[in-house]
Amino acid sequence: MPRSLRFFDHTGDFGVVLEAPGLGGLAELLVRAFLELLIEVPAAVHERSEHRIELEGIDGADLLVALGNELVYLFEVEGFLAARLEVLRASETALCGVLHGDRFDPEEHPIARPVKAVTHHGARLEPVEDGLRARIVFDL
Amino acid sequence: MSRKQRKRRERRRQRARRRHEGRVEVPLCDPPYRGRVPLQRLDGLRWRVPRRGAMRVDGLVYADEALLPDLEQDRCLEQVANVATLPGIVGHSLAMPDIHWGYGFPIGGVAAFDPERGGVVSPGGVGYDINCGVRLLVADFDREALSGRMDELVGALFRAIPAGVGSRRAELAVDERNFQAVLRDGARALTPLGLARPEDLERIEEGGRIAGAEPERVSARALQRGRPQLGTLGSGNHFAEVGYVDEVHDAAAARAFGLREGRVTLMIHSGSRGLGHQVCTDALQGMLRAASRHGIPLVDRQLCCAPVGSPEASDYLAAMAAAANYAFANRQVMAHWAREVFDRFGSDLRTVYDVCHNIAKFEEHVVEGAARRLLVHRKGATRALPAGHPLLPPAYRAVGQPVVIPGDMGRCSYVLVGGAGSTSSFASACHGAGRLLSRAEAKRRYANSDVSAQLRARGVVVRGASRATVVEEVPEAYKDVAEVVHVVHEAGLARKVARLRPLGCLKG
Repeated sequence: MPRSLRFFDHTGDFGVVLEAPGLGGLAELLVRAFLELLIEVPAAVHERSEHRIELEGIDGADLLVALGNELVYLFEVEGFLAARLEVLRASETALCGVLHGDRFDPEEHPIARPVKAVTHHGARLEPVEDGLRARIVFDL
Repeated sequence: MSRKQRKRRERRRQRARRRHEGRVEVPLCDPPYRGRVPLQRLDGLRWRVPRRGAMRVDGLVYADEALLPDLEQDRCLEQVANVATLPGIVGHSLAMPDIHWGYGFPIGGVAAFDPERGGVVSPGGVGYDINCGVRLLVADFDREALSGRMDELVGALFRAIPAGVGSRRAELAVDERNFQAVLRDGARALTPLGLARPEDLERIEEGGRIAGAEPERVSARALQRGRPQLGTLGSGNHFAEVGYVDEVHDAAAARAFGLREGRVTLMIHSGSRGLGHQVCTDALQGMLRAASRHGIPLVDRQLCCAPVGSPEASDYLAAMAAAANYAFANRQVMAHWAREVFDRFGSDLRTVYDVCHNIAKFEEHVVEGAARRLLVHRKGATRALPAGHPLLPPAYRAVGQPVVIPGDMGRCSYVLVGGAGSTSSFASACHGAGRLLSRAEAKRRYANSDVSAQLRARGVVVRGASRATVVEEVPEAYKDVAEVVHVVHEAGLARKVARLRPLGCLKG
């Protein structure tokens, strides 16, 4: 199943629909979606450092929301911009992986719009042919 | 073994496997409405969303014929019905005329829950930006004093009030002890530091301090996010706006508020920054589990909640109060810095009032003829106490509470006063104009426009931390606040006192 990422409008914010063969693939796409919303030129974020993450959730949708909020925290507190997620282990309730990215530099990485949180509003994970589809809404 | 038995056994195995893996089943229920929500006209300003499915009460929407098409553009009316499914809700699930699509709760929604009837607290009913709110200050001079100096003033405010990612003022050295005091005592903690005046405090909702805050219930992550951001504007729809009183509608109330035609004003719209967002994020994880444990069926996960009195509810309310206090202090620090700027321009700034837009508070209201202590959730709504209310400061007791309603960068804003009709809305009114266009749509339409230049042509100087934000916050992205305020005024929730016109705006 080909991976896909599609943004949709939410009155004050943005949402994204992700499709991938499995949860790990959805998590990788979510990292990309986050970067595309946050930074004007995502390609300017290089893979110069890394961050290991271990997350838990009550189910797959909750896990993706937790991943999104981890990205918010890492950006705001550590100044770390994730460009790519390398999934080491993914189950319905746990995700382990390495985020590859760069230290935020306002000159090199102009902000498009700060992402303040990743919400549970309408958060969904559902099976589709040959894979999974997730729907996540960002708070901007 | 029959096919039915095999299926049942398989379902049992699946449940056991999920329990083993730490999976929690979130109880979901069907939304009362999908798509078009039928509205029953009660009069020209009020519309009923009839009780259906899991709804426990009716919805009640304040709007007139002119605003209805805007309300039907997104899914906010479905959300009004969804909120009505929550346990312990009393009266109606209310929608103010600036309502638009939010997360779980609509923005512009008000709901009150009775703890004696299984009432709940829902972090989604407060929102991520806990105590996002607005402060109105008034200067000593009229707009003529700023003639030809708006670029200078807006530039000075832009340097004084940090806006945008990572910006802060290093000299605001709030040590650990003082930071804990901010979380516990809100704006009051800033008086000994010389950042707040006693007269500021009495003109802030709840005196600038929500009772029951327990800083120890705020997570380390929330503290890490919030501490460096104290005294910063933030982004999105947050702003500081210089304006002037363009028209007075109620001379007595305007006099009590210190407003008169031509007088320069400053509005600061901001909230609890990353600290509030993290408090909400932390609580939602626990509340999803709580909803499962208490068997509360949810239409939307963001509506997750816990009964008042449960450990999850108590934890959240204590942390929420701390975040709300942080927000009061945040706006106070920015007001202090704005005062320093205005001082250089030859004026003081006096606080007119500071109101919360996103909050849950225990308040006493009359329901079915009896006074009851309710947990009132306002998500994008403003408290609007009428004249004579005991919670009002002495200076405003005879006229009522100032209700500050920002519009957009190009048109106008309003100052209202709490009206006698607000007894039907748990003493609530609207909070702004309400979004009309999504951010994406605003970007599609105006990305190639020079929004700042267009506003300058209309006499408004704009400085933004990000060009994208200025485009997404273009005036046309909002409803006309005059139409929204008209409904609130006519319904008696709050009365018009003065109209403000913008002169300069600082966007986060």
